Amino acid sequence: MAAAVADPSRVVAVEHLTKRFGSVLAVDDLSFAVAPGRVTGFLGPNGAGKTTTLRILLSLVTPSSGRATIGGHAYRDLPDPLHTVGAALEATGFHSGRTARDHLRVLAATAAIPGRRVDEVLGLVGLADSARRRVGGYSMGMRQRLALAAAMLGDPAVLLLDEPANGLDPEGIRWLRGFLRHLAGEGRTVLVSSHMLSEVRQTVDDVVIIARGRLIRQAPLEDLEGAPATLVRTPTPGPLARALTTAGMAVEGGPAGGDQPGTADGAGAATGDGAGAATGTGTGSAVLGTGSRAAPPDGVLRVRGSAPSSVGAVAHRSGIELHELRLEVSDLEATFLALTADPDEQGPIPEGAAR
Amino acid sequence: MIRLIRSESLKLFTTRLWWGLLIGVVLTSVAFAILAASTAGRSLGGGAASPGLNDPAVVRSVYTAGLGVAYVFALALGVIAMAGEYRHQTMTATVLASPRRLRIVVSKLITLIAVGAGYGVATVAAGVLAGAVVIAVRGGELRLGSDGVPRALVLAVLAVALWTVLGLAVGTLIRNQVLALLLAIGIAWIAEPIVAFALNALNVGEVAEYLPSQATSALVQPSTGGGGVTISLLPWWGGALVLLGYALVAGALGAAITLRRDIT
Repeated sequence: MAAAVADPSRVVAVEHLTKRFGSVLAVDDLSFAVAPGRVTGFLGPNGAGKTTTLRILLSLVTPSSGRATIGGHAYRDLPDPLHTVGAALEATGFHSGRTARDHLRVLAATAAIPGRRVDEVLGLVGLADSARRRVGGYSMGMRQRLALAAAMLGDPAVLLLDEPANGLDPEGIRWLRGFLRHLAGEGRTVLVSSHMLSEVRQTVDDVVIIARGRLIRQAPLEDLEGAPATLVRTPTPGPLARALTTAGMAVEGGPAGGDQPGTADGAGAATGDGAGAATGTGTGSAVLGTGSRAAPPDGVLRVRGSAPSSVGAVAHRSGIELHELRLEVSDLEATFLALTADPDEQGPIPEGAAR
Repeated sequence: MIRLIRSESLKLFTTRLWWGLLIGVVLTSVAFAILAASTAGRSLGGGAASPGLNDPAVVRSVYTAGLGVAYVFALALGVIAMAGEYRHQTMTATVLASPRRLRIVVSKLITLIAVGAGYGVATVAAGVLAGAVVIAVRGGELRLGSDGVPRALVLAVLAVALWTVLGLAVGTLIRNQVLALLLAIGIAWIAEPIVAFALNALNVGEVAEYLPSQATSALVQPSTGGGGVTISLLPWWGGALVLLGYALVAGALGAAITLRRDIT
């Protein structure tokens, strides 16, 4: 992947990492690498082992086995950690009686970071006006911003952020999105954990999905989304399929329904469900992206890689009546849930979903 | 290391705790010194008169009257310096800034000993000022340069400084700050003096001599008469060594635990 060619000092790597807390296996032989210049989403349901992995990366927790490194070094061996890695682990690590500015001054002192930089990062996260207030009076969103300010103190090339969007209002989330994109644009490595894919899908380039301490999938986000497709419903699927194929488009489904408009109505309504259920593959092979969707119902054609406008144009030229024409959006959240579902807790895979 | 010590002192001086404790030690020191100086040599409740101001040990007791409160406050400061980091979860940021944890413990120790010594100086200064006024009014001799008074004052400062280290160890062992404070203060202020008194009453005072509170008393060699029980104390240097020993063991224990612990 991109990691192979990128600046190796900015690569975050986890190799065969295992952490056991008593009888609980929090992280189970986990391996992945995070590339610089991209925002990577570190995803998984609550309790999947995300925070433990991040804490091991930061030498806060000792792994039972395996390695977690930043630029090839364990965090505890970094000569100048604050200038190398910025971490925001939870929005709760503040003394309520200390002001935001003093909280940062305490940290800045350890790396001889001047007070000027403290004011700079407070401005960067939009806390300049509240800098001299005690953190006890801060909202959750303000604490998140303060945690981010602390991470930025040393202007680090690698950022590890644990659920940074928690407690932010919609405006704050939009701001965070732009901020993270900007940081990655500067060539930094940005790893952001979240238990909600929808929360980060507009921000991340890559995803690392884990569940029960194990890697489920690592891929660029677009691989997870699959190629866009157009769904078209018509009383005459046969002629339309021929017309589209002639126009050089990839057509799926259709002719089975033949010219029986009666069946098309009910089948068309079920399209959404069909596509959603298809993601519940549950076979463990994570067959997602292209080829994973269910065959469209009778009377409905799926045209891959073509926009609704071009499909509509072909139909118009051929004089074919259309009853529905829309872009098929993959349900990323359903994909995520299906991928991370615990087979022991979810019970049997729903009938028909595995086809 | 200098940077870490700067960071640790900023931690102490950017919350309101430090001046609360300072006001506490100064006020109690003044009050106890005045009380001790006014009642010395008088008969309370119709019993035999206590030793008077012409006894040098009484003068040492007056000047260091606030010590008993000051060392417990120092203990509390040490507890809070460590357990407070867990309570407010600032330990994460602290360890991220300095992943080599031994340095954190050492810089905390140095900072606490220095700040503890500061509280010691405040305690002694307040005690000497208030005590000297009362002694002068009662026509007693101030003895500020004689009879082991200067040594007692310096060692009282040392004692307060060393008690912060005991607090640090307690705060490391028990991360729940409230519980750690209750236990530390409860033992230092209530349980341990009772045990010491009981041991002395049972004529095995030589065992009690090695308890932290008794070792602290030995540093200032106060007046030990009265109450019907004779309290035996180590010589001043013995008390200093015993207290230093406690601090060393406590510091090493705190460091060893902090180094290994997962911070979750």
